[in-house]
Amino acid sequence: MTEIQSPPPTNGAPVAQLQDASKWYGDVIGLNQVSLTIQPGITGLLGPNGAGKSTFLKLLTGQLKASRGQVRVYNLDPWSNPEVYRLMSYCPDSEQLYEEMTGREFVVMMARLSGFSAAEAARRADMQLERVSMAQHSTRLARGYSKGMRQRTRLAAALLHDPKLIVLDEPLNGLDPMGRLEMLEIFRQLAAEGRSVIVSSHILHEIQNLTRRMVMLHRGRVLAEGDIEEVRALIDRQPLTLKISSSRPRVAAGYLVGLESVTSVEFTPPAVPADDHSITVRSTAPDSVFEALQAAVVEEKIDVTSIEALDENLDAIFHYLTAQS
Amino acid sequence: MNMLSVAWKLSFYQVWNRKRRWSTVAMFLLPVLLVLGIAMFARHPDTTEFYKGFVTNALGFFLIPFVAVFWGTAVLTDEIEGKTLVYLWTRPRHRGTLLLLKLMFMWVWLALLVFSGVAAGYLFAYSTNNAGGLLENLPVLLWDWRALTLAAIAYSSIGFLFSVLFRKPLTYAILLVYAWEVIPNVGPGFLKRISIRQQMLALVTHKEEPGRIAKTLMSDVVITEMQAIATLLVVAAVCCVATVFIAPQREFLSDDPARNQ
Repeated sequence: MTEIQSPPPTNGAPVAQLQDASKWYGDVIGLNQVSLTIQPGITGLLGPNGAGKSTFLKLLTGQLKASRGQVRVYNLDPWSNPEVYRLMSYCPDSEQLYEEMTGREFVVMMARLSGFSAAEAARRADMQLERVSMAQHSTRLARGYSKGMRQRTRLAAALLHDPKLIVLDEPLNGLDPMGRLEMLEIFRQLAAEGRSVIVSSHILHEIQNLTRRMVMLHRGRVLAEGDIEEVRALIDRQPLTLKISSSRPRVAAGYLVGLESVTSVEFTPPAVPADDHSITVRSTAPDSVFEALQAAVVEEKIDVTSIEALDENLDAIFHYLTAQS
Repeated sequence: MNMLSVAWKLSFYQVWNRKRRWSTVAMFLLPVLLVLGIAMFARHPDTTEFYKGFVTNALGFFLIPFVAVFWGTAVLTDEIEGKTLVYLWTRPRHRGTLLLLKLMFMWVWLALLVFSGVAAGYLFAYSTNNAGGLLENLPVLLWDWRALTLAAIAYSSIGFLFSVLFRKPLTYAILLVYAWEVIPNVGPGFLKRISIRQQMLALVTHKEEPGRIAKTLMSDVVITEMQAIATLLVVAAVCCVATVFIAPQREFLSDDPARNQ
């Protein structure tokens, strides 16, 4: 017999909403007056270690109670509310599993806790283990698993009951580059299936290729939220950093140093002697830099082999934002 | 059925996982080895007297209360320390009920442990003396098993409650067992009514004579069999119900980096 009940209706409610939510651990503040709405799709939750990402996710998943304010997931209060887990699943950042169980035993047990009969639990466990490429390792004891295998097993357990919202705390930790790509692909598939995914990470470039929608946390506060372009709009006043590779970097630099918009020019030796030298230029008006370079190419016949905007990287944006705050 | 299946698996895991396996085996073997030691090295032992001390002291005062509070607290603390509680807490199941079912399966393990201990003493005592054969004295085994199992259930339930109230529940539970439980032995008689050990002693087949312990004061309180059974069951029930209510209302986190900023 399958005991699972239908999930509660969501009636078009937003995925998650926090209103003035704070969480205190004694004198230490974990999350400070956070108000935001999470929309359907993939949302990246970004911030360095200790920024409050785990506290945020634990509030969202009903493991912690907000000290102040309100937290809602599909309009339900998640605090200690098992009903929410018919709609949502959580994949923690902890590496631990039941070490003396096989991966399959663990996932089947989680399926049974979700209300499935023994046969259905086994079927779903096998299906999800296959999906995360753990089928061939699933009969081994968890204590022999690598970090990546543990992550995959936890993800399989999180997907068992077809949740509408999947909350993943640092899901790419411990995965090799190929594993990360596979995992990111799974997240995209989940979003394509109409599920919402919240992914936390302290490594910004992990999220960059997955979603443009993000929430940045720093010291328990929301530093920025929204589309990456919106976040960029916040830092327009900051100088843009460009890395320009050229066969004659000194000549190129000569054209740039006189510009009013250029605040600094640095020479960077190449990693490989045969490569071109590069210069790192910080400018408040990048267009003037491009025009000056065009002039250098035409007048001095120099080669410009690449121009890279370092600030497009989320790391740089985060750095700017934290510096501003 | 699903909850029962998971609770059984978790209780089995708690008792027999690799970290615990040898200590569990030792707990099961300890009384047996004690009996074997007495049988091999004691000359002309008074087996009935030995059995009485073995059941009330070695098992009833030392081993069983310790294992009971240890396993009772570990129902929750093992999950916290192993960082596996999150898996149980984030499923569409009532958290307190799941823990309670796990505790109830721990009672099965406790009952087996008690039986192995009592049976070892019983086999030694009644296969070597003239007090009748093993079969004729079978009620002794069964009643003592019942007495110690009920006490174990009460102790483990107290440990279970402590686990949702205190950060170091085993410490408090051990203080209760080995400090508080000694007081009624030497204190005023009414204290016996609120002592698990005294309730257990009211149920064992070889009761101590009133006033036999030199330090006993006002030992005129008589606890009947029904009172003892009822008390032990009520203690267990109250602790379990309280824990089922409290557990979902508590936050059990120890590793949030934001706490260590």
